[in-house]
Amino acid sequence: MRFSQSLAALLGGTLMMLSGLVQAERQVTDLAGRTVTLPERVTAIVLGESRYLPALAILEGASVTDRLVGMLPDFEQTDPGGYGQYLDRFPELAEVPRVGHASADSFSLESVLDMGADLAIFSVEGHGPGAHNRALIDRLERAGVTVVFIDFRQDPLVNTPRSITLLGRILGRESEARAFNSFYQEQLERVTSVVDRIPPEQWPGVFLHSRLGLHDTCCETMVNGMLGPLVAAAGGRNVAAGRVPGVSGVVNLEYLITQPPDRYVATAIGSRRYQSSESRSPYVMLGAGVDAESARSSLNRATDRPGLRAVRPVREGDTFALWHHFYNTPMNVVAVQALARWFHPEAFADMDPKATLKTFFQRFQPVPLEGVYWITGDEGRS
Amino acid sequence: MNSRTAGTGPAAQTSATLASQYRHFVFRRLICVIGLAMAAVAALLVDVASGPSMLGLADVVHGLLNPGQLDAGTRVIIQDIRLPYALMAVAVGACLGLAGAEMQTVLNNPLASPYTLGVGAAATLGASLVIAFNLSVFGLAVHVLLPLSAFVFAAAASLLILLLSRILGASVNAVVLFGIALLFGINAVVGLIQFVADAESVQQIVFWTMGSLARASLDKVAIVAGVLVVCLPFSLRNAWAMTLLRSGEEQARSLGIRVERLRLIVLMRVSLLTAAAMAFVGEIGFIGLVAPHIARLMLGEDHRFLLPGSALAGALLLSLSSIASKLLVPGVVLPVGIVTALVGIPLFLALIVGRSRRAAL
Repeated sequence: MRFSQSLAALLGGTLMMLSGLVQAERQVTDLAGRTVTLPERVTAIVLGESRYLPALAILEGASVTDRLVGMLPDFEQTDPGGYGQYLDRFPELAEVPRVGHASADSFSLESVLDMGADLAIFSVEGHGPGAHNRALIDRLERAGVTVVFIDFRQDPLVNTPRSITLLGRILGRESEARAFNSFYQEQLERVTSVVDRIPPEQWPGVFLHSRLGLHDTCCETMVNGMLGPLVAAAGGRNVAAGRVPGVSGVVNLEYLITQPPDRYVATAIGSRRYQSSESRSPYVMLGAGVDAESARSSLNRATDRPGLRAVRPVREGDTFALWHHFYNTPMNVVAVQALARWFHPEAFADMDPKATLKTFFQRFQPVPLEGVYWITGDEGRS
Repeated sequence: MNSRTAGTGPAAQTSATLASQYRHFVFRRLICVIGLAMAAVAALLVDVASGPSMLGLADVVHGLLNPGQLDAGTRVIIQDIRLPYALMAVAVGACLGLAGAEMQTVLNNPLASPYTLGVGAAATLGASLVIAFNLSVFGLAVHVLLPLSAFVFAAAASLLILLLSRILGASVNAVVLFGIALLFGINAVVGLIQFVADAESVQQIVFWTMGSLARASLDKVAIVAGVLVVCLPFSLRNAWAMTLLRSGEEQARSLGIRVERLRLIVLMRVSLLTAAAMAFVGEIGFIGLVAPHIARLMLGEDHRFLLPGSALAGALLLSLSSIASKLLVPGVVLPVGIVTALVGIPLFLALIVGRSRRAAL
């Protein structure tokens, strides 16, 4: 009696421990710091930002649309060139319901529930529902939809591998996630291992001119987040660091004229859609579907403004532009390489970021998002 | 004889007192207006002299007098940055201050400002349309089309209000109610545009609504100043009538003021002033509401002084805001629309507190 009781207690205890272990194994922490219990299986995915399609494709490969049941239309809006190439390869994307518009408020909970989604992938912050949309998250979870947050923009170089690992676990694509992450770390270390040996006083002062041409005011920049961390990783000293307290802010043009940066980097928000009205577009054109010639002429046109021309590197034609949407994609490591080459041409003379980009597309994308993603104003310096 | 002297003596005395009282009245207000003008000029000079580079007022003045001796960077700083920002602050502030004072008087409503009647919202609508749909008419570039569209829409909004009020009788309530209805209607349309626009356009619209002097250039300053110079004499011509209107609509009517006509003319002028001010700097709230109150606290209801006083108070406020927006974080520009309230409210509260103290004594 006593023996059987203690045996039962022992067995029961073991069982509880085991189930606890299983439970713990089924739990992950997402990028918003939430504890998420992994679903048994995922059959219907909703993307809080459709710009995550390339990220999803790293894991899902050619079957990226198989489990996709809904998304926001920000991909086609902000990067029509890239979306167009995806659409050519996956015509069914046109049929994927858009569950809202370009904002969290427009996100339609009802249509998401109606299409039977079981996983919602959101961005910690961005154009879709964010981590602060508690009511929405709560309702989705009560309806049985697993909500998970990923991030490529708050702390891109740290959060990108974490996000990919997380997605790999949830989607049951852990080997794909590992393959990408080892590629990512390897490519990142090619830069950081060299940059670490360059003394900080040899780091050039960099001004990152965000969304050149968007406002006729000068000059918006990024510091803590988005493309800001990429500058530091590439061995650049952001001249707005310590002045702009948040993610972005406006730097006084006068400051840039009197204390000119060593390197000027504009971010390009123009894409292929502006090519028809090329001569009038105030933006730099980069990204999928853009060729080097129109990219370069758009950069030189965009920087040719009275005030900006007085900033030394711009005056000397020593300009560089980077695809703005690097701030929200796992491709960001390629941008680090491109910037590093621009900041320290000698130290990185044998590094070829274009080849890295090509490898990324070949190994991790079902679509070769062909195009030019960075450009120099002076052809001789590229 | 006796009775005559007894009769004229006090009367002459009274009229002499009245005359000297009036002189005193005018003199005091004139001093206040001159004081405001001097403060505005001082703020303008400080604004021109402040920035992240070591360029002081003397350098700027020297640079203006001898532009040939400057290097390219300094020339850009003076001609494209310092001077346009500072002058634009003064011109826009004056336009909004004047427009606000006139608006408050003819609508007999202390909460009125160019934003109350949807004139400001209409300008935003005009700008949003250009931004969101990447419009290009007659091959004009966006930076030309945007202020133009803002102006056209602001003027159209005023005309619509005027038309409706004309048909239904331009009573104060009718005008205010039309304006408010228009304001909400237009805000809804702007919201709808933001809903269909792509993300970058939404950002740009939001940026426009924040207001910024960094869009200034000397030719734009000239346009805004031109509108102000054209409007101000007409405003002053209506000053007596508006002063009377403050004593009550019936009273003014019985003294021969054609109130409806006055209201229509003033609203037309207000929309012109507002649209000109907003077209180049975006939405800058608060000035049009508070500058008239600051002027009123200092100068009272006599519109000969109130109107220029309000314009000067607006210029002073926005100029101070411009200085603050540059100096709060060196090297970084804060949107001036955010700073205006932070600068204006302490000034406004100080005046109210000072007045209630005087009243208590």
